[in-house]
Amino acid sequence: MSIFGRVDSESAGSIPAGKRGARPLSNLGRWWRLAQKELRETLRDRRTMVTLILMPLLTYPLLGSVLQKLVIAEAPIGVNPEYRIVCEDEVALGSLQSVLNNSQALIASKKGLLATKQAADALRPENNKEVGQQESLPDVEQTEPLLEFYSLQTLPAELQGHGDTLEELVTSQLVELGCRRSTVTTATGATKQVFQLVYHQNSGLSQDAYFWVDERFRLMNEEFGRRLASQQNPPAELPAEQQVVTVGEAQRAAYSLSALVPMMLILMTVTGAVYPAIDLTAGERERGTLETLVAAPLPRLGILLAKYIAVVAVSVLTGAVNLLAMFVTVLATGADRALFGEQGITLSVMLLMLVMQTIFASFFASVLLAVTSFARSFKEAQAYLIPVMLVALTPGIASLMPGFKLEGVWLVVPLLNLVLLTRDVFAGEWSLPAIVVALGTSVVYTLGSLSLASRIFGTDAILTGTGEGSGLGQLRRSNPQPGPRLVAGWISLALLLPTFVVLSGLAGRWETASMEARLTLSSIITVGLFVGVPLVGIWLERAQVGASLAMHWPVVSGLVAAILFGVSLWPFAFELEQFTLPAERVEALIKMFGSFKLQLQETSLWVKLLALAVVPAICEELYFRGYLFTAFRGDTPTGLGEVAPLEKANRRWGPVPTIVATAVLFGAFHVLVRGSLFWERFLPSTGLGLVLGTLRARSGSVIPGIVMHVLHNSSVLLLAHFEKQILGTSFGQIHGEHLPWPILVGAGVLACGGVLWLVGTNDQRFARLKSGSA
Amino acid sequence: MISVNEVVKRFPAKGEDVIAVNRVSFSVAAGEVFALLGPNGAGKTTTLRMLLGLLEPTSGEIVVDGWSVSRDPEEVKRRIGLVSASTGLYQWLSPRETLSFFADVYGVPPDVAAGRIEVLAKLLDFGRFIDRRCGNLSTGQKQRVSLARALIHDPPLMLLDEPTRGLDVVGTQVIFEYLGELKRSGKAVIISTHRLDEAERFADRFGLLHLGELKYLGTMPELRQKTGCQSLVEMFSQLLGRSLMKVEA
Repeated sequence: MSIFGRVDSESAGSIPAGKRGARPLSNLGRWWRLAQKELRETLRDRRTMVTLILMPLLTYPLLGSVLQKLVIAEAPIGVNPEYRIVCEDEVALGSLQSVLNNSQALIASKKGLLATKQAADALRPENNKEVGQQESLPDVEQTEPLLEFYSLQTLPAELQGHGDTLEELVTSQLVELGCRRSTVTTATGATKQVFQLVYHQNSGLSQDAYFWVDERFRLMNEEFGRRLASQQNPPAELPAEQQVVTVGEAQRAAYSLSALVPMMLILMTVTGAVYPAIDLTAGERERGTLETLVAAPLPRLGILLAKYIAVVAVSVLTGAVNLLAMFVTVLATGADRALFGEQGITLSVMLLMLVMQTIFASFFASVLLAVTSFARSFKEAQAYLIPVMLVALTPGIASLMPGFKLEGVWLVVPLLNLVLLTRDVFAGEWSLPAIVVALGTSVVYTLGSLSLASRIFGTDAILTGTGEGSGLGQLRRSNPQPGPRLVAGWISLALLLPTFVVLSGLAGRWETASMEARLTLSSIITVGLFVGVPLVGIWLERAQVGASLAMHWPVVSGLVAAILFGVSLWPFAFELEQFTLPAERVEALIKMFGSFKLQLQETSLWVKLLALAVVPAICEELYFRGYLFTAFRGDTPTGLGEVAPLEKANRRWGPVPTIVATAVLFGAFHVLVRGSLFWERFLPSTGLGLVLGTLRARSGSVIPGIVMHVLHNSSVLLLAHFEKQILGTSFGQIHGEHLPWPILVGAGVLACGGVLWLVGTNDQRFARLKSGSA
Repeated sequence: MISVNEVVKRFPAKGEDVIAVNRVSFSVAAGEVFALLGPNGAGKTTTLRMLLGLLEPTSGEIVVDGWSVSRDPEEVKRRIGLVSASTGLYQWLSPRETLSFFADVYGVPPDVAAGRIEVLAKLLDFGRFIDRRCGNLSTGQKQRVSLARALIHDPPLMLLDEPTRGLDVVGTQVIFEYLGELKRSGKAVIISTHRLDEAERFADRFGLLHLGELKYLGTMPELRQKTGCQSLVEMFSQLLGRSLMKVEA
């Protein structure tokens, strides 16, 4: 049956009848080759090269010249800048003027100006009317500043009363530069002058004054070195050493690098990623290559991953070219100090920008692919992307607002968290937890976007132009499914995470309402998110509700184990929290939740049990161990602990990765409380999630988990409610101390019972379950 | 080789669902060329897409070389070579790069793929422009590369969707020769076309689709006996005439 009989045998490439063919692209190397093909195609396209190379080459010189004009425009037009320099005493004043005079003469001689002598004469102290009286340097060049020298003892009236020290005067911004002078004796016995210069970091004029003086010191010292090396006409004075003292904020508000970088990165990323994202999705359909690609034996998520790699690579390449062009332009125009502060633009700053740009590109590429996957043509994709790009620029503007801090809700808002993180990293104000949360949530959004893209890319509606029209209908599958797919799980997470944080944060801030009203709102949010989102997902997948949420009557052994775990695990969770919590954090938490706890004490126990124990337990179990577990695992429990034999096409993750992943996500959700981060909750919640996940895997049902979760939450709540009574008993202190050993021993015995019941049972249904999920 | 059993495809629509394919059944053996015929909108392309696993049948079953399209779509895709109506080539890649890429996608080892590319280049006569970019090729040249792409993994089943659309006489002749080669090598071939005169020349059996239903199925003599018509064109005229009369009534 081969057309290639002469060149290859059946064993060398043809597919044997009735046997599975070689798994194509089953390893990373092959996926990389698929990505390489996408990259090759994109990079050969002239339009990509235009955005990649021509745009930066044209844009940055243009921007550079505009910025240069803006920097110059800072000074009043037609008037040279005025620098007021105050020295600590008259000796310092004289010495500084001497150095500046000599440097001016040196500059003039180097430039061969005829006005050399005149300039130097004008600067000589003996020509000054009086020390301390207003002095100004003559205009040697058009851009030379006008200098006013004072000493602390001879300050004019308008400068008096603003401080007694140089630092105070410079901080008041009435003086641009302060100067102290001291002398040191070198090893050879010579005397060397040491000048200490004080300037304001947050004042452009003060910085410029410092740069101006600094440049002259550098010139004089270089000249000394040059003459010394040539041994001709050795200088009479040793070079002056200078020390710098800065006052004020560490950054300049007008041109803060940290505030500007996020916007620059957004623009660079969008420039590079938009075209390949459209071309590799909508363009593929328009060229007629989509059909042949999706007809190949490749999972759609894999195809999308290859495209994702290509889009990220092109975007990063564009970013690198942009950064290079910017680097050269800024250096060439001399705008580096004005734009990036005293340190100017350094290689490390550029590398850091490239790293952040890669992070931006990784996030943006997935979002762009998700959006363009909906489009049936290039034009349609462009129309979809315009609002996306406008929305993407908004967080860039937020980074310019100093009041916007990377905390609370902003930690999980897509893109905004990356923008604020970038700003903080460049300002040197980053914190590790914030980086972890911002990057972690961005990874979830990226996976969610890619899952959505793979869900849409090449589907009936895109391929044939048919479907249920627009909106959610287009996302809905045409045929029923037994349970949610993996991509549906990721999409639900990407939707749920930010919504949960924002809504729970809002509920927490509704402090004027009664506790009952707040608890009711909290319950509505919990039900709406943890049950509503999965139900929408099930509707879109045309899946079975019972099977998707694993809502089946469980085996009795599972229920017994759940009850034992439910009443015995809280002491361990408590102890784990105690071990990981420092004393000062306990105090802080007590202060933070003090009033909340008091209000809660006055609320009816039944209301609390319903709102804080039962509703969250049921909803969280339905989502984490029901919907998400089924999506990750790919099993569809059929009831009474039985799991449908896993079809090859449905087989996804093993039981252990599924349990661990759902537990970690469960733990992560519990870290976010009322818009704040509570890291101490991560380990106990993840531990609880591991037990709940094991129960789900073993029983094939979500119900034992619900029973255990309700009992666990209720135990903790009852303990808090009856805290006073408990404190009156021999149980001892709860806060800051460990639980008495009888409680821990009793809980340990019950927990061991639960484990034994779960593991050691001879229940035939468990045996079937094990064989079904192997 | 291929068996299509009671396959139905409904597309959800506002109001009533659209039934694109309605209880269609047929089978194709190895070495047989089966022509799926019908006017525009008859359901030919939808049927082919279901065979390919690109669309999920609403009900019914399709089995290719022992593998179910619904349960093992990847195994089915591995056994099918597709020649679509559009040439579907990457304009910035050369024919050699395109064929190497698809060989990789289908799991053909690189050394085997290199040999196959040479054979296909001779068979379909594209050696002259094998390293030129596909975007610079003429329609006929693109069609040759597209035919080669479908064969690079040496599939037992070939699906050709309107392969002669937009081609001149020479291009059409290339397709005929290609079909002959496929038949000689024992591949099962399903070809969808509305060029009835052409179909009569190369196909062994025919399925006449109309409004999603398979109206006639059989060899040419069998169809002549069933319909009393001598050519496929006459059979379709009869079929469409009846349908029109039904609408008018």
